[in-house]
Amino acid sequence: MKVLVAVKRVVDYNVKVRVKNDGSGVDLTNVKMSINPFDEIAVEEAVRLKEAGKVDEVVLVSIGSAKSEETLRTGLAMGADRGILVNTDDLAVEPLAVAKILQKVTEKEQPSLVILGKQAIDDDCNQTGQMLSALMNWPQGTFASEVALDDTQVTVTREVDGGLQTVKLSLPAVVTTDLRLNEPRFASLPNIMKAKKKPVDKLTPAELGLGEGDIKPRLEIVQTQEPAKRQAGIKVVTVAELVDKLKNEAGVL
Amino acid sequence: MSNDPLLQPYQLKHLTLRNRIIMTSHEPAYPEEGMPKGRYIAYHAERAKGGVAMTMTAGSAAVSKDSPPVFNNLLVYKDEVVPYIKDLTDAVHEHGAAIMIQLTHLGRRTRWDKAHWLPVVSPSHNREAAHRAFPKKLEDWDIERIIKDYADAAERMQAGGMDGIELQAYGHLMDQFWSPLTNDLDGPYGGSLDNRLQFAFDVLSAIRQRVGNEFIVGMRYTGDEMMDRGLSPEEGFEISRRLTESGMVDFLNVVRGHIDTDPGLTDVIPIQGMANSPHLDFAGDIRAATGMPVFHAAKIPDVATARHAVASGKVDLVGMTRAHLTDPHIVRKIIEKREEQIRPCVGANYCLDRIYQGGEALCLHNAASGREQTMPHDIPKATTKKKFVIVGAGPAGLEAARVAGERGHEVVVLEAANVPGGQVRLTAQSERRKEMISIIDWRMAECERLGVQFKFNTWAEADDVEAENPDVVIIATGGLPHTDVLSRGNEHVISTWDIISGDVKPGKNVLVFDDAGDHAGLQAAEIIAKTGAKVEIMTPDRAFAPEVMAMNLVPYMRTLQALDTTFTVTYRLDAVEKDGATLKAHIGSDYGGINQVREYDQIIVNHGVIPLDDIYFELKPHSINLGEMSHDQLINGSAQSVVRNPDGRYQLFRIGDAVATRNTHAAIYDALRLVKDL
Ligand SMILES: Cc1cc2nc3c(=O)[nH]c(=O)nc-3n(C[C@H](O)[C@H](O)[C@H](O)COP(=O)(O)O)c2cc1C
Repeated sequence: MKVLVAVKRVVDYNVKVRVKNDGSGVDLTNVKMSINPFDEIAVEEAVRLKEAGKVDEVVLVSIGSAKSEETLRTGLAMGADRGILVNTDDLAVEPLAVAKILQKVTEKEQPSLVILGKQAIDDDCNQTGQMLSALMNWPQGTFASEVALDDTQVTVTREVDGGLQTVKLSLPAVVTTDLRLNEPRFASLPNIMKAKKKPVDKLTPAELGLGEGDIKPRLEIVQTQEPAKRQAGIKVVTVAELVDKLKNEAGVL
Repeated sequence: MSNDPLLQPYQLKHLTLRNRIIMTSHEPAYPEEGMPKGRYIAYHAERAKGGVAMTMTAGSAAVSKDSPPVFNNLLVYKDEVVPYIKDLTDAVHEHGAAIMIQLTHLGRRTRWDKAHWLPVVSPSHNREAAHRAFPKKLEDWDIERIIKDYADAAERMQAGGMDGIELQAYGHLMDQFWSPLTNDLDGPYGGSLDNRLQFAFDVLSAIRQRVGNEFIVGMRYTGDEMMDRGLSPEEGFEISRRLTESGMVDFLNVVRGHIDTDPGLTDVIPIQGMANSPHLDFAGDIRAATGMPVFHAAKIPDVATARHAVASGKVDLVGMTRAHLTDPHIVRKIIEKREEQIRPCVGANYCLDRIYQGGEALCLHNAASGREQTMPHDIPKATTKKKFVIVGAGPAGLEAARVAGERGHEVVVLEAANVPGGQVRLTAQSERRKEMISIIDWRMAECERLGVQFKFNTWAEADDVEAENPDVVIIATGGLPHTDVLSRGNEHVISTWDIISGDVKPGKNVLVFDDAGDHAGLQAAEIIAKTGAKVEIMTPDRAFAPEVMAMNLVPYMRTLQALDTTFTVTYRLDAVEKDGATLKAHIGSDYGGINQVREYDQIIVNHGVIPLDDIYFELKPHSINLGEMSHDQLINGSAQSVVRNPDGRYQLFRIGDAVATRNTHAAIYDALRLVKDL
């Protein structure tokens, strides 16, 4: 069985991002970039399925500039077998465009399962997995905190508001990962070295049969704003004073 | 004035201390011929400059000839010590800190086969496990002699300008009298608690007669031996009250536990992976019961816990001792509101473990500590700005980047992984080694502050380096595990890294062949043993894991012994054969005549790393110095100036494990010592 995992190159979660002066977006110059943490969980899950003997091949796909190859190498160092880089250069691809590209890659690769992060931590859209499922007309199990795979179906425990929901999907299917699904492994230096030699195919949207119109941006960013600055705290001496301040100054009681 | 509880002054009798943070007594083993000379003075002066309120110098300074040093302690039984003490106290006072000294007689906690070859003495014949000497049981004339020695030494310290002294009473002669476990004497110094305390009060009286009532005298003592039939907490509180009521003692420096074994010592002074501030509440209870000025230290490594200790009234002065070995300028950084820049003690305990092996105290990740005469804690700016390319973001590369950044250079670091840390990040995968990651996190924060640029996910090739047009290239690429050590069957063994990183699942019946003797071997053994597998650790050496050292071994042993791990010393793994799922280990011995075959299902070899040096050798022909590092310039502290190839485009240096397997301290020292002059 083959699993396809989508990985995105995003600003590292440790970075304190800054908004560009003109408000057009986040300043990415000299900023540490990493694999999207939810995608890292997706890679880990796929590699574990392979280690358990349920999957034969783990294929990664990343969509973005040539630099996304770094992100593929990170996943390859974790144990994936090969990578596909769909180079969109500097074009800002939105979730629907990404889903369309993934659809083409999925049709080409014919995996039994596609695993994606539930969202990317840069735009927080939480749309791509669902859109891919619709485009492929495959069942979807989103926000997975547990995945159990057998030959014909996958059982997904979903983190939903107020509890857990378990769904059974027949294969092929789309799964998106939540935070608690697993803890991604440490990519050791010997494995980073091995990953250097693993194959990465480079494709363009055109080579996948997608025209410019299929993937061009449809949304316009009106403004990007920094969150309001936090006010300094104060110290109160007594409980009574605390209650008073919460009531009369903070207005929360 | 600041309202930070740590920055409030404290009045101890006539002595005003400028804040609440002290260094408790710790002998870094820097004396020369038993005297505190240049190195010793520079060490304490740096910390006084860094703002500490008081430093308790020495550590077990010897009052008698039959208390020979266990770790190069000061010999305060010699009159000639006084002028050296004067230089030391002057240097510390000059920077506004107070200075005291700890005096002791070690009793049975030393050896007879050194100095004057005098028998070791104690109030019983009971041997101390750690130092192995069988003591002579004290006679009346011994006791009289030693009481006088204490008074003489106290007088010398007063003459040398010390602000006070402290007597050591945990594991040393004084509390060997106190503890029922180590006192077999009859009256007047043995038997009842009164009698067992008589020696301490005789010493205090003799000291008071000599130095008067104004001079500050304190006691650092255990208030609970935490040992079956040892000194109980009830007795500890009673002792605390009697010390208070005697009026001869000005402060109590509270310790809890016993130090006669490695595990006991490690519970008194916990290391990384063990709980922080385990005895703080106990110290607070003694303060509450006595109302005395109380000092206390035991793994309070961070400012927040120290602040809590003082603010909650548990202690008057908080000891941050190993923390000051790592960062001598803690108080200055608190005052300047730069707490986040404090270099954190990671509890690696390299300092203490080294002195118990006869070395000097060194900090695992501050190579300037104890080397104040040659290594700067504040790195000066360079006169000309250069472009540095550093390959590798492990401890060596990051230290090089930090120091180059401090010098004002333009610095680019290329790192193959997605994250910095190298082998330190690997070792930090184990729960008990987690604190190690602060070595990396602190450097990353400093590098960010200094504008160092990082390129992760970059397996640097020679072209990538040269494309940056560097003036200086530093190769800090570390190495890969070296497992090719067998005469046959190398392909059947795995490395400790495979286990620690989780790349290979543990087997069921596993041999760890470890002749590197460092943490990686025990970490791998522990991970495997915890799965319920059978584990044997084998080494050709006389002792296993020698590089891990005494106190660091304790937590491993507590786990490994409980999991029934086998320790096999003096045997060598020669070859491995595969027979189906079974691995046949051919085992020999360096002593000869051994040829055994044993069966396992997994064999791990721990034998350090083989340098990852391809890029160094590729760049070498294009460099000005052809990679040569002048050892003389390195040691003398001048800039590297070797020219072997006038057409070269940059200077090229190789540091850390990219040269040869060593340790984190060596990697960091390599970097600091080289880059501080570039
Ligand atoms: C290198 C070194 C030597 C020490 N020597 C002594 C000593 O001679 N006498 C003593 O009472 N404590 C000694 N200590 C213990 C310290 O005073 C302190 O109790 C201990 O380090 C715990 O405090 P910390 O966690 O703040 O480092 C030593 C500590 C170190 C690191």
